[in-house]
Amino acid sequence: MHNCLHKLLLIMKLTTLILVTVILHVSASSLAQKITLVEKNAPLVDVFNQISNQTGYDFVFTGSDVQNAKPVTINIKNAELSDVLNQIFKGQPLDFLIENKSVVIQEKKELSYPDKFKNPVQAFAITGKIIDSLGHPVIGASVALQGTMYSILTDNKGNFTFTSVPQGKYMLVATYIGYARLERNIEIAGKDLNLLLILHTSISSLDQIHIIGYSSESRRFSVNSTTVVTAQDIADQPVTNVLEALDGRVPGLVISPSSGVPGSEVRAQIRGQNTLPPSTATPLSSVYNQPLFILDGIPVAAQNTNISALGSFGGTNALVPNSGISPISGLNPNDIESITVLKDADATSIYGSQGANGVILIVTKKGKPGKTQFNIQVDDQDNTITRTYQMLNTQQYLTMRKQAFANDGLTPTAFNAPDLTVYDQNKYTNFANEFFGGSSNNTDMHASLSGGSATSTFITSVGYNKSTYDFPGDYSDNRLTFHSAFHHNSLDHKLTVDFGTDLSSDRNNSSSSPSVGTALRLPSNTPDLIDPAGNLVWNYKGVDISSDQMDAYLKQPAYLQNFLLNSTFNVGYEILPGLKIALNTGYSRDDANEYNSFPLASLPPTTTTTSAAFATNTNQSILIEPQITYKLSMRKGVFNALLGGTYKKQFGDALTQTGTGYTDDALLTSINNATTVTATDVSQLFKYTDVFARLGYVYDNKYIISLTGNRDASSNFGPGRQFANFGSAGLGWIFSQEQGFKQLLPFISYAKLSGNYGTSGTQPGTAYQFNDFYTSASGNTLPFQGTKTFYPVNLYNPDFSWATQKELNVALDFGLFNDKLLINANYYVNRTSNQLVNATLPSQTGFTSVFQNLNATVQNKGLEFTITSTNIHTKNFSWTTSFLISGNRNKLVAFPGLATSPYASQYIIGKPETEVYGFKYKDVNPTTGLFEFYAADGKTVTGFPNAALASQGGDEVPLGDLEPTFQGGLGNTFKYKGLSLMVFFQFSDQNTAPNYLYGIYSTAFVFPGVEDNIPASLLGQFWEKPGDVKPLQRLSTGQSGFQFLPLVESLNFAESSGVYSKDLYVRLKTVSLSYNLPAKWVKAAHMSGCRLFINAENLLTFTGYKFLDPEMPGVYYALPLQRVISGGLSFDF
Amino acid sequence: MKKIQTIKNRICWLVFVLFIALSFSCKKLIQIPVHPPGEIPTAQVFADSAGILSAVKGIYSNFNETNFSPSFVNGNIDQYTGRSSDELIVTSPAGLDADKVLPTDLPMESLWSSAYSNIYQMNSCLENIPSSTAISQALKNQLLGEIKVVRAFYYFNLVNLFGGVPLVTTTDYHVTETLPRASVDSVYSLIISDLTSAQKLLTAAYPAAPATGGVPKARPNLYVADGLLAKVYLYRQQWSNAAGTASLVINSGAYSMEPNLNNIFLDGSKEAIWQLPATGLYYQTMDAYNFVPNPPNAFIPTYQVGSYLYAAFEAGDLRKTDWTGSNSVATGGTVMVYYYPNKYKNIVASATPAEDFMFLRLGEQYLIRAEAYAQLNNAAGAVADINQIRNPARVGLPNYGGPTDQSSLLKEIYHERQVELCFEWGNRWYDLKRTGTINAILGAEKPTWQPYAALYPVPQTEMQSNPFLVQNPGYSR
Repeated sequence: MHNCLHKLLLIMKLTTLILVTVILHVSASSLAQKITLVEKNAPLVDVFNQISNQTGYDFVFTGSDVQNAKPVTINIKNAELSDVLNQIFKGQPLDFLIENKSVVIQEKKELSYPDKFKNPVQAFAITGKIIDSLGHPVIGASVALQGTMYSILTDNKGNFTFTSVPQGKYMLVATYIGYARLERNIEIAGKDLNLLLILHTSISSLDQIHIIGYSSESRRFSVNSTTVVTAQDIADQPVTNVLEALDGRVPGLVISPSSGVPGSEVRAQIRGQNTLPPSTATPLSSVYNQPLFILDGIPVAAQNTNISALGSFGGTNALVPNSGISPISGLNPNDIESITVLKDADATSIYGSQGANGVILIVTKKGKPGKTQFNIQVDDQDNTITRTYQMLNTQQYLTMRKQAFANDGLTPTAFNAPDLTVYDQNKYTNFANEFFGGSSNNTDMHASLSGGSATSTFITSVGYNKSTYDFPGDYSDNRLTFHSAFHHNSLDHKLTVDFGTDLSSDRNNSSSSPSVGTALRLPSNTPDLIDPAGNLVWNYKGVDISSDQMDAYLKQPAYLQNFLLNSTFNVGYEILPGLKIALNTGYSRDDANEYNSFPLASLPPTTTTTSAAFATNTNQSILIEPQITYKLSMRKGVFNALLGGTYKKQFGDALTQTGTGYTDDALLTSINNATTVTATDVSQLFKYTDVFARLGYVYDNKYIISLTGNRDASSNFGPGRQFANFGSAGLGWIFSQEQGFKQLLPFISYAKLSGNYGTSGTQPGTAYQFNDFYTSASGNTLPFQGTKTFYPVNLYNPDFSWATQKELNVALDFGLFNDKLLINANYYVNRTSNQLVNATLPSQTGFTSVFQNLNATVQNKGLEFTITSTNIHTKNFSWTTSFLISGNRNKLVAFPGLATSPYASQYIIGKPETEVYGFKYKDVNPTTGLFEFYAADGKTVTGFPNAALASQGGDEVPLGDLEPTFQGGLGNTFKYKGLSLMVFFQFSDQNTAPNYLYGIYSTAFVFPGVEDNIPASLLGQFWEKPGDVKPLQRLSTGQSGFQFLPLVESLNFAESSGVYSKDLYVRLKTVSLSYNLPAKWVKAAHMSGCRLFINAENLLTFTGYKFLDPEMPGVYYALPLQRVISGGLSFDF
Repeated sequence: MKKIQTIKNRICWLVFVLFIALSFSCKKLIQIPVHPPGEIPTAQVFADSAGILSAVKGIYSNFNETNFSPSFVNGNIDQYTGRSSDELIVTSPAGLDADKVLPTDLPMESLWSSAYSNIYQMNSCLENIPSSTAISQALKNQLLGEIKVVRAFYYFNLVNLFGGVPLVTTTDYHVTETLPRASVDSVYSLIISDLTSAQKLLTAAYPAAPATGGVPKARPNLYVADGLLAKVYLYRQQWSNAAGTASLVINSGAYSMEPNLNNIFLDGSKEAIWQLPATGLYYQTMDAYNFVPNPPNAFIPTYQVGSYLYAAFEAGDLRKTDWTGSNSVATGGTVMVYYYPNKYKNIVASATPAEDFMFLRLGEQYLIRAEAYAQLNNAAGAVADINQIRNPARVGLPNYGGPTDQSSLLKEIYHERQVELCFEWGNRWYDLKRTGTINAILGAEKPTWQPYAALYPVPQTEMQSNPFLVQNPGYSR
């Protein structure tokens, strides 16, 4: 029910936000105005309108109230509002009340005779009603007389009653999340009080409501660390994957894009790496702890991992090498209302074993009550790569190659150097430009229809996005999305029903093996790869050039089609005042169909086997969550309780079929036409239950306590180890509420100290890991002696159990100058022990890994600062700034038995697990022209360092931490009338990051001098003759059988400090300029709104980082990130 | 209002029931089948005779010709050892060559890990079969004997490629994960004890040879154990044991020399003692796939017969013409002739008669006994065995007529081994090492030869994942 409640609140909040801004907008300029009125026998309502027009004050009343009002006659000049109102209401059966910038009208209540005499003990009743600025009752708001025991919640009609309050002066405080706190001095003097109070939507981000696990809260009263990214922040950025929109906007969250290919994977990591990666991690293939992703309450995109099964999108030769296609890319950013990132124990503990790496809650847009709105938005994007590649031209390339041959003492022949002897020496093709220099085009369209009444609202929208590749060929990612949400509540607000569906169909058309790396490295004088007749060229003057045949990929169609369905149905009922019962259910399904093909036309003449592969992959999850919530006003405070349960079932099936031996390329699209079909399938099943409780108490708006606990059960553990308990405790103290604080420090409007400590855990990603099994050999293994054979698939280890993570978070919040400037600081320490990992084993055990608990403790601690400020806020102009910065420090705290474990060669206790180890690079030996390194002692120079940690007797020493030292963002938003400009900078600093030399030297047999092009920036850096002092070793041909040393040294170099450098960059990430056409014009066009906008992403980068994109350090073989400039129009009807 | 009341009641009940369900029957709610689809718990496999046979046969499937990654249980071993010694030259620029093997080279990791992953399966069978009640004692003996032969074969190749290796004889990873390298002697002890134990368990009959199709000599019989043991004794320089054990095979009468060289590697070859089916889907043996250019005559063969080996064939030796092929290719105007290994000739899966992958054959047994006799100064015996290999009818060369002193005989035997067993199971590479001639011969032939290269490096990944492993000398990385 919390969910329904939340949705209701959200709707109310949004509606009021819109209205309130309009009201503020008018009133801000008119406060000083005087009123002039000349009316004779005018209806009261007309007079209200007149006043409202002149002052901007809003009148709140009901039709029945003014039914019996007398007409008004008045003649007044330059008078104050109160004087005017006093004159108007003289003799009327009505009272008025000036409340903020509204005038509230109510019937005059004459106290009845008995009332006047009923209180001999000098105690009187206070009754009242709390409404929002639309006149709707605010249900469940807390009303208290400060400093007393009088505290109560409003009922279903927004009413409250204190039956007997002693005579005296009081401060009445009304609060409700999402609304500005209301304070009113009242005096009880001899009669009952009847109050009408209006709560206004708060514009302070302190009061913004956001969802945390199974309930919602505002930052003002929270004791945890969460960050919200709003629809507006997302809309400003022309991204197709919503995770990219979080880059630099959430302290403690590191976003790592994997390539510039549409749909490609984006990794997200909250507060550092908690577990030890399973195997030897190279800097570019480390395993990330991914957070739990929840879309409208349903877990989605498990582990945020690649959904491509065939390797065309994620294989080594793929466009997104070694990573793949993101499951999140199916979501349309236009349909997202907010993304909340939960980071600490208080926020995530309720998710038990699933929340250990943080939680990302994605909430989709919901309908708003009011006139039915139709919005359509169209934009067009132009993409180019962020940083261009400059490779050697033919003259430079040939000179480089000749130098390599001279260095090796070899003579180029047709056999070992066709590029120097057979190819045209004057031909020049700028392959980097040909493959990466183009631009691509994205089209995005989104239309939505929404509206509703006080009891029911709806939204439905459709979106289409086409993103083409910045790579030759007719490739594109096409996404069609449908979103709908429906909400209903009964008139008495007791019953709530919500359901919603998101559906997307995404088709990514690509190639089976596009090998970005090969494309980049083609020698500049490579012969034409396509002949004038349009055929692929495989042989040039007797030289086999099939390994250079990049254009073959154009003839190898591949696609990945992904369908996402996410559906929720939630129902809730308030059975007693404050006691609600709810049932949330959800179903999500993800179907991926993938295809790739290798037609004969795309293969070298030596290959005669054509093939095509077909893969389907279906994942489904079912979620059932019963809940009971209870809210009670108790002893100067508000008490909240939640008891909930989760039942989750996840199951998936994947089938890959490969057909070979097609007789004709035209038949490759069907598996039926293959001569031989091999198939593999895999299925998985996971069940999970959780019973959880949360207790919260806010005492006197000052002291906060929050407790959560849960009991998890998972099918992924062996017998006897399936259950675990987790919990957290949080405390908060709003010390600005303490007496005397405001007098002492009047400029501090809000100050809170809070903290929480708790546990969460980890469970295995798949079932059955604890048992040993045999399985049949895969489909393409022929039977042996007529028998389908068996082989073992897993090691026996029934003992592993839940990993535990202990998290501490301490936060300090300040609001200055009426909360115009908000400062939030967080300090956290997380420790994960009894690590549950796929631990590396030497293959002498028969397997390379086993799922087990590792007795290692990893600590992440860090600081996060956020500052948001409303610098200027006037009628026509506003300027807001937000700044955030965060840094995480990882450390392997303990690892008993490390020295005798397979991890001894990877980790050192006390160092971060993200530490990179390698040789300390010296320089190029001026005599031999080869790289040299320092041995472990730091003094001895060697050309043959020993590839083992110094602690293991080798020469590898710690080179630095691969984690950013700090990262963050700075955003400024300016608004002038209808014009709005948002400028957002993102920055990151990494002391040790692989640089482009890593990309160049880390592949065996591919180093400068071999038959491969290299970046032009390397020119002049190579050693040429004895005595040269140069940064890079001599060029070498790498010819087999002759040049061993340069190869060995180039690989040594790739593991040395020479290929790491500082990676500090500041990126002008987003510039968004939009203009709302003036209302007059819009009205004339029969529209309710029209907006023009230009958004730009990755516009400028300031960095000392050479050649590659600093946001993907060391990545040489992937399509770079894109610079996007997008222009569009949005219409509202 | 009444309607709402009903809805309310229903929701209350539903939530209440769900809570009860969650709180009290969590265990039931998270119940899943005892095994995933397509996988069987190990205990269940060995409780059933069909399961046991599938598990044992799986050991042979691991000699899988469809597996392209290098392993010494498919034809790729011939490629690597051929390049390491002086049998093969590789034209493609990148690759593994004797003096350039790096611990980080993937073929090293693949050789090592594929061997141990198969040894795990053998150990699993050896642990579970004895206690099984699903099969007869006779079948148990046969299966255990077979597996021991295969395990000995694996360790024999491991020890010859890498030197002493971890001696893994259990499936318990807690025990095996930190095992250091055993000495060469202890590895051979296990090999010899496995083979002598197999001699007692096996009979002369090949187990379960299918009536039609399949390869009759795929699963070891007694003579495979004998033949392999003879080879092991030869390597251990136990000359009389070697001669005696080889005689068990030679005198069994089960095998005879194929008069036509082109028939030796065919399915059903009389000379074959142990041969496995070529299980490629799109080709037959990995050797033919690797070595025979396809299509012929159009390209420079990727693997060429090394000039030293080519020169070692005497003029008129039929083995030169039958076991090598040639391509003439014009590059940049000049026509060059390139020779390639051609013992296995079928490059397409459907070619007949089918070729099988040869593990042990009678010819090698004669050469083993000849060498043992020569060492034991039984010159007549040695010459007689040499002439089983070298005779006019078989190879088109006259019988051996040279001096019969020990060193001349050994020289002749080494020569016959070089040309008879070329591209087969690393015999040349192993011979160079066990006879102590490697540095003299390869040192002369290869300008960059380094003595340490006689042993392959322990793969880098293994060094990292087991801190107790020690690298072979000479390999800095």
